[in-house]
Amino acid sequence: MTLLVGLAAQLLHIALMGAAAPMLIGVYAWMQARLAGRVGPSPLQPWRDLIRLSHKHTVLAESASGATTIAPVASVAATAIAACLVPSFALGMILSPFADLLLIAGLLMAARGAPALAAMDAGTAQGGMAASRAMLLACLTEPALLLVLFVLALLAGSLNLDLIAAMQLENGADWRIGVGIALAATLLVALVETMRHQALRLDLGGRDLALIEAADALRLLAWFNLIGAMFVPFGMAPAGAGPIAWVVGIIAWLARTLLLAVALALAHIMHGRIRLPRAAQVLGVAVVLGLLAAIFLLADMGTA
Amino acid sequence: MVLTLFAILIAALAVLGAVACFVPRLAVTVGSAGICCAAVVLSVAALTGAGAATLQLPTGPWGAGLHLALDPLAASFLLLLFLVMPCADTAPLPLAAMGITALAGDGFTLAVGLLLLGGTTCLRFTASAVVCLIVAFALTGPLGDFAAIRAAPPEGWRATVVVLLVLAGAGALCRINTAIAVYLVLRVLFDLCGEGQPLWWGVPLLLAGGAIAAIGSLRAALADTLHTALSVSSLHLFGMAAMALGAALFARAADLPSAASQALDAAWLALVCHMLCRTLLVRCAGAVESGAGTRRLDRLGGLIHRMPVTAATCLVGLFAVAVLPPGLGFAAFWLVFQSLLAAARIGGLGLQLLIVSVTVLAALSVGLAGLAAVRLFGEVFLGRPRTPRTAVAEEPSRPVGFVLGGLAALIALLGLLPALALLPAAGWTHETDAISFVILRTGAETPGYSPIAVAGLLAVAVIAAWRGLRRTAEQRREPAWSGGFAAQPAWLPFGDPATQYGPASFVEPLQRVAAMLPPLAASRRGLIRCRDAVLRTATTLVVR
Repeated sequence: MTLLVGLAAQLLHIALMGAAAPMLIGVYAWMQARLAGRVGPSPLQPWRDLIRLSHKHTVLAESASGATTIAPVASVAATAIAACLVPSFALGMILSPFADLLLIAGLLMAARGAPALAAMDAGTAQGGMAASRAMLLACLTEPALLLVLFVLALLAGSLNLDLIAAMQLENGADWRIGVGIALAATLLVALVETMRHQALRLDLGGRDLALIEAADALRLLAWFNLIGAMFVPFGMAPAGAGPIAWVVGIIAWLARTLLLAVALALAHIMHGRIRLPRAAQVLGVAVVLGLLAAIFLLADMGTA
Repeated sequence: MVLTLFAILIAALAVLGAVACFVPRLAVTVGSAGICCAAVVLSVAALTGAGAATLQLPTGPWGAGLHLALDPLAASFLLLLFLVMPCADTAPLPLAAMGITALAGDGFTLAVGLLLLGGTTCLRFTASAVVCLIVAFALTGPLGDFAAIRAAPPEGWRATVVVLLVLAGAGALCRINTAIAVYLVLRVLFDLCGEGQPLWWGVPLLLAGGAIAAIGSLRAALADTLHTALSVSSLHLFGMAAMALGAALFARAADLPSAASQALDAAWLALVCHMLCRTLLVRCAGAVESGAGTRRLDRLGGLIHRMPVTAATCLVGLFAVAVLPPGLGFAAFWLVFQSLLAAARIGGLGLQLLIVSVTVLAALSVGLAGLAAVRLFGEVFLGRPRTPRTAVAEEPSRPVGFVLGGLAALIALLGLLPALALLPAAGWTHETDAISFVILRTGAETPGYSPIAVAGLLAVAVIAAWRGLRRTAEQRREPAWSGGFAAQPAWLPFGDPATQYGPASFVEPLQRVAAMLPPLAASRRGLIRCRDAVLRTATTLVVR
């Protein structure tokens, strides 16, 4: 019975993620435009773009190899698995025993490396430059992100995201200060991680471009869900709960996602494009915050 | 019985090494490959058969005789060495020396093995390691007979000096053979020095592991020749093995046997991944060098069109080294992370902060390894050739191709089934409850990391993406557009190599960020400011 409920929750989650990811990008772009005083495109625009791109013929660069074809598929597959492992509205989905935080971080890292390879495949200056910048940022996010994971795993006794979310749900009342600092570090990491590298896809077209766009959309949603599940899983249906709890969970998830989208749009409006040195500084601050969180938590554990 | 056979094989290898210059090269290669195959079979037999054996050789100093001893620890390392090192094209004599080192039953035999191993190639480091070890074993008893040391382990200041000397010797040995260095640490610190150790023994290993991991990946990311880049690109896994050994020492000192065996498992898996990937990648570098005529990264490019097999095998190795799931490197890193987590629950705040900072270094090395892997694969195999010579590169010969393919297949297989790699070490890690073929985990009932499940999910997602957006039949090739890039003119058939982003430019942002690191920049600026202030005060005083 629990197995069936878990399976149903998982399928609903996958359908929800697939439908919502491009919508989220659309809503986000619309919100950014409204905040900047423009009318903005329809929130459905990314869906239309995806359909349009997937009907186009493929144009490949002359020096392109199989990497240009394979990398977008690999990227979207890795991101999709990460997105389907991170719970959105219910805990105890059927894949939850595999929802390891390190695994999710690794999948997201792999999903960043593949487009970089595709960009280098065309053999042009801009592709290489974009790949270099994207990889540098991906490399610098790793210390801060893994520190946060370390802190959470120390607290929950496991790296499993479901157990961590369940622990946060239980401890909702007494939030430790270390967790708050870790949340701040994660928000900084997410700010950099959700940056879209337009130059990475200059030499992609048609289906390959559609896949990369889909991967970007899924990545944004996966990051929002990740922040939600790691720190504020409030409203999520506990494992084994029925459809009524799911409805509550979906409403809470919608509210959380919209809130994060507004916050991200505001951050991007206020700071404009984040330049590379600035992004590196932001990640440096995130590492320092992660260290602080670890110190607070360890001191806490020592006295407790 | 097995030990006697091992001794005969090693003697045969030594003889083969001695006569190597008189017989054809092919005969030596075939002979040593055959002997190594036999040695692999023997080590498997030793691992499945129970118990330990010792053998006294008729030769030796002062009539004391040399001892050989076979136990699970030695057998697992023999398996690893005789499986991997022949693929790295190692000569018979060093192979024999590795066998002697791993089978040594006393300090003197160990020193003899090490001298044979590195004495011809890297005398400085070998000599310092051997001196350290001889002094260490001299402190423990005459000739350092292992059985005698095990019966009465050194205590007090002797133990401290022995541990420091052995760690220094292992550090020097890293330059010759990393597996032997790990073996030495395991043999002396874990086997000979007994239980009941102080907590600090793990500290040097943790610190050294963190430093090796971070510096190794940084070097791999910044390297400008293929050989350097590929040979150091798996060094962070060796650093992680050292970290895991440190964590295991912590757990032993705190009397947590299950945490200790988990950390030992992590160290073994990281070491196996390091050895396999290093061998594969160095062979790939050799294949590229002989096929494309250069080892400089800024002269390579676009090799995937001319050397598809080398490119595919290199990609497998780089995927494992870049610590991405479901590769072997990720499985090792997962276990190392778990053992660091377990170690962070031991000791006071100082030790915990040490563990946290080492974790940061490990994470940094993981990120840098990803960057280095993308850079290497992209610059060498993707894009356009940067020289005419590269444009006519050729695949290596068929035997080399088989070696590359076999190693890549082994790495991919072990990535999916890491428990298979952990099996040979089960005799000395004493892991009992958590070994399962489908999932890596920390306890019997806890969730964990299952590479098979991840691979299955990825396969489903790839098929769905492939089918869901079916490619329209028509495909055409055009010159790359990217920012006004145009087709190459007829008089520049391979295009202007300067219009491609080169390996030096790729890491330029990294260098800028590294230069921005506050402590380095601030300390330099602060020193200059202090000097200026002192000079100014001095001048004013003198003038007045």
